[in-house]
Amino acid sequence: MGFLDSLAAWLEKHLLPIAGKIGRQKHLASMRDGFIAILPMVMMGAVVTMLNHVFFQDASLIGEQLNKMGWYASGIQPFLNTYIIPVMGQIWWGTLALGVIFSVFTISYHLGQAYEVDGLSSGIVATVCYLTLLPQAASEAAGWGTLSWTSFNSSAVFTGLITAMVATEIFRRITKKGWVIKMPEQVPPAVSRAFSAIIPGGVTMLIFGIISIIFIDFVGTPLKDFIDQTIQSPLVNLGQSPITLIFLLMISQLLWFFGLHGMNIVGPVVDTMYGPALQANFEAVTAMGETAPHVLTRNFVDVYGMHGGSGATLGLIIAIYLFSKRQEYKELAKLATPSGVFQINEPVIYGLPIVLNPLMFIPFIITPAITIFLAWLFTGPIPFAGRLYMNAPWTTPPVISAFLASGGNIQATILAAVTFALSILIYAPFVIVANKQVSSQEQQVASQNLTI
Amino acid sequence: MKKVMLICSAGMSTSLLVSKMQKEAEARGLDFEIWAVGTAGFKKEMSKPDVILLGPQVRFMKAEVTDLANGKPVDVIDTMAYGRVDGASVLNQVLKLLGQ
Repeated sequence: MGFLDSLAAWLEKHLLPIAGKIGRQKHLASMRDGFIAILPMVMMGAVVTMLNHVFFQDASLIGEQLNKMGWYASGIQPFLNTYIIPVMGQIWWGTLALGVIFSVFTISYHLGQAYEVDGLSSGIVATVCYLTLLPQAASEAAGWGTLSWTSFNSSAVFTGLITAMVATEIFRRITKKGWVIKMPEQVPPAVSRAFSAIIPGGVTMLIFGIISIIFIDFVGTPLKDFIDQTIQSPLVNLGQSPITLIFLLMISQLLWFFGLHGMNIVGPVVDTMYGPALQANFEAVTAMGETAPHVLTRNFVDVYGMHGGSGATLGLIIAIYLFSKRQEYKELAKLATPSGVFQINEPVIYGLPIVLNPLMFIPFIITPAITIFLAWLFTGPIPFAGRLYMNAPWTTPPVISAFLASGGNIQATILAAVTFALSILIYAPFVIVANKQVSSQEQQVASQNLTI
Repeated sequence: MKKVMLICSAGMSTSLLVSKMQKEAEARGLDFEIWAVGTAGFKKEMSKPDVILLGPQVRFMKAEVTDLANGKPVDVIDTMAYGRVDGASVLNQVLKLLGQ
């Protein structure tokens, strides 16, 4: 058995159980599933704002060009301004602007189910707990009975997460203790379910009500602001170092090398560190008309580092078209191109394969590190490219994704094209070495045939 | 009719395999229903399939899926067959699991 086979066997034994544990960890899994559940809302919000900020508004990239035509400026733009843009704006308001409330519900729903208590009840209880934390006036000037959208926007992400977790934990502990009102069997299940949530739900809400008043009246700042200042902001800022992002990516790439879905495992961490940063950029640009505060966001990785999927394997596919002499490589490149364009690359990872392939492992792990670092350099310290603030779906083809995610910024699109070209260049020498590998194998076979 | 469920991270890459397997089954005159789900959605569908296959990238979930499968066969798709989107050999794997 070769070295790699024994390494694989060792890993199968030791790494797989760990990955399995992380994948089954109830809080991480419910976060992942909760975020997936709000995807339709996130997508819709992303699409409407993208339409407004890239196409419809007269100051947007494409809108500006269209408005150079007189008939468009006088005939179509006023119609867009009066009817279409406000409709899109309201959809944004109902989806992304107030987005945290949905994840509070979906995460506690999934966590409740994982604990085998009623998901719907735990979702509702957690949502009530979240609302309980909010002050009854948006500000002193705003007066009583107003809610601030900052209670539900990017600055509230961590408060939402923590509330969903803590409220569900309290709720399920009390439920499991058996402190529930039990209905006779003849009562319909929906009614009996509502009754059995009364005591655990009530106690959970009471605890949150007390916490809320402690913070509003005695600490002098609502819990959300406290969590934002003490946990969320420091963590988001920690994530703004390229070293943090590259480190997290390396772990993901390493897991992929052993054939495990890296982002599935590292994803919840990346989401919590970089999701709020993307959301904050988005709000700064679209709602406040300010510049985006953060360089590194959740989609920075996909836009600049992962052309064609984890490890930028579309670069590898193109390098194979250009330089490979191996028939099976060329066949696989053809097979993997259509899905690779849309960022799905399992065919390359398992078919080439990259899994446990020591030669391809090198470019697979260094390409994202190099391209992410370069993209950071030319977005942050050297402000060449515009910052990313839109959430283009992860299946958007490379370079186009940069155009959309930066709100039509040409320099960002160029930067993505350059990092894409660079990924081809990094893979090329390894593809060429792989040619030699096969010829030496063929020689071996040929010499074996001679001796036989 | 035999029902086969494939699980991968988001149900995307396995969906490539689904169409290949479906075609292969039709070519052989077999009555199969094959579909793909993501790791977030598979629990709700556990009652439907006769056979469950996992993409190799989520093979760490095999123990969890086996627990929920009530004795139905659960297996990880062969890595190379998965990478080459080889519908025929994955279908063979399914037939083997069904004891056919």
